[in-house]
Amino acid sequence: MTWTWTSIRPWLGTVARLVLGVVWIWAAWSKLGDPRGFVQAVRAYDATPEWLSKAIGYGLPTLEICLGVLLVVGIVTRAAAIVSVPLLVVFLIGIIQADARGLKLTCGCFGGGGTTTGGTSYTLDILRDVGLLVLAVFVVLWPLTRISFDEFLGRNDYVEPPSAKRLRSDQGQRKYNALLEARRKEAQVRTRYVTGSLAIVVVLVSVIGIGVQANRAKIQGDLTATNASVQNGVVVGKAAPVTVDVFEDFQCPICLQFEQSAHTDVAAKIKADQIQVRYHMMAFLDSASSGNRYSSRAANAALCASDVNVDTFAKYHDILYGKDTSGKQVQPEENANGRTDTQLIGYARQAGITGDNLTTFQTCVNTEQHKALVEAITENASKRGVSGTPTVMVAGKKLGTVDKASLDAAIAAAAAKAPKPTTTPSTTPATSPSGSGSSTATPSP
Amino acid sequence: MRRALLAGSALALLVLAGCSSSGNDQPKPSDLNNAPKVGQYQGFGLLPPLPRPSFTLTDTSGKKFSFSQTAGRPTVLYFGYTNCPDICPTTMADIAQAVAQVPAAVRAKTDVVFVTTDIKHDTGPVIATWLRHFDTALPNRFIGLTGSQGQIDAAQAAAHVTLAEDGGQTHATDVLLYGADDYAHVKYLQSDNEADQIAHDLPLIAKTA
Repeated sequence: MTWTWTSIRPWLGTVARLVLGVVWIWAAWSKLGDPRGFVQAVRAYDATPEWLSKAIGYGLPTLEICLGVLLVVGIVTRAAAIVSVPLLVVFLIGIIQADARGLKLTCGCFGGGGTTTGGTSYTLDILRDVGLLVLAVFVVLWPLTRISFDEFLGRNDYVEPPSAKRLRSDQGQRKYNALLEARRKEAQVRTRYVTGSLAIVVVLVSVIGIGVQANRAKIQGDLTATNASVQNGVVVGKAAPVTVDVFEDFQCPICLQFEQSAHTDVAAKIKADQIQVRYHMMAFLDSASSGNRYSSRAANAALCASDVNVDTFAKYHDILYGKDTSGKQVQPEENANGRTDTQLIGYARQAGITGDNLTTFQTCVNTEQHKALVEAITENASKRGVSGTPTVMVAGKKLGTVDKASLDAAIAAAAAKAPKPTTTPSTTPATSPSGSGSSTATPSP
Repeated sequence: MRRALLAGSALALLVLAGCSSSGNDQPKPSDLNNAPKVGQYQGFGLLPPLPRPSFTLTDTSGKKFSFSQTAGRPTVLYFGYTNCPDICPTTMADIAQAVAQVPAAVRAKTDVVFVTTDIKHDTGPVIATWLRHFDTALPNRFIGLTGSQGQIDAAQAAAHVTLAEDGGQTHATDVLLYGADDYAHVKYLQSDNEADQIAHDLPLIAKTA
């Protein structure tokens, strides 16, 4: 058998269709499980308004699943490929603009996403999307592929051509053309109906998908804590001329570097009432701890420590970015097992939590009491444009580079501008060791 | 011994059976044609059924006629030509006879559409005159259609019948019967009891809706 372009093209089409379809399904599958995470990944591109980020975050995975299924089954293949092309182009534009603006993102194409601490893989992402784009265009150009539902639907469209002699006669040619035209029209009508009805199905499924995902993305649980709130995290220090917002993840190695270089200085400034620091402990690196969700559990434990009082939180926070009693670094390596709950409770003893407080702390850690609050703080941070950690805002302005020098400079500049305390009293919880029960913990929806 | 006897008698039976099937009892092709009996219909059952085609031609008064106008009504569709010596007039007569036989309620709903395959000879008035030979006793006049060669070809292709040749004189003899559900579940070929077959099936397809 000789291979000719016409004989292998339908098979190439099958391969293209299956690869594209499987990639769609795979991409959607890894995003469906974590709707909030994917919305945060979309926000990290910093290219869409909030409502669009949400629509994409909740709707895109369902749309991708639909496209994937249509392509794998091979029904309305051309329409599915036509929809795939602009989607891939938009993804490409998103990645290229992020690269051009110097955002350091993981693409979030297959779940995950957000600002990365490690290197980016834009070149690979772009190459992959271009490759998929080529496949999609191939299928748009030659949509009839082997082993597809389209092939089955069109099985009766074939018109047996007459013999060459008859085809040369006017009559033979006329008849053949009339038959071809009739079958073509029938196929056209059929395609219109099939495409139309499937389009309605896809739109409905996507709309339902948006609803379901939005519902699943809702944070359920208690958002109150003695000394922490969704909006402000844990506020350390008395009202001071300058407010500093620190967004950190206990799993993040750059946060560790930042804390180790800056924390003595920050603590001194807090003590001198020069600054008030709001610690927003985020959890978005859960995937980096071999499945035991160290980010979330550590953030929860820190909030549990804040229940004792704010000073204990500060101590506990420093231990998680410091060393344990035996001098070992507490922060686990990325992609290794995170510290266990027992270890987290051990660090509490080190931070000076004892007696009844320790029992309460233990329960708080073991039941992950502030799980919802951690999720809400993470979501709130994402809405405020924080797409990675550490992010530091001095008097509401984001620092370009997060290190001790630029932090000091920003604090000095802000202090010069605002000699008087700018923070409102309501954001000042008690800093006394006894802990004030009336301090703000405003749950926000 | 006994086994051999059994085998022998079985062989004899086989031979007998062979004889009978190749003997005079074998039905003639025309017999088969006359009584095909597919499913509940006496005509040739169509599986899958053919959907009612859509084509637009010109009726005997020169007005545009779209075949979809007959949608939802039992419709007989036949392609032929008026100058036809045998098959066409017999078929039209059979159709007329069948329609006359069915219950009045079905008869009142039934349309008969004749499409000419010989556009050179069959002008509107020619077709009208010819059709009046058959339909005078019936409540609905037969509908005669003509058009350009391209339109006639398209209509035949859409109805899934073999396209006519030789100036329309070699043409398909299929009589297609569309039901109230806009599908042709059955068709007929020229035979001795075509009229009875159509008369039997017409009330059945009139009900399918």
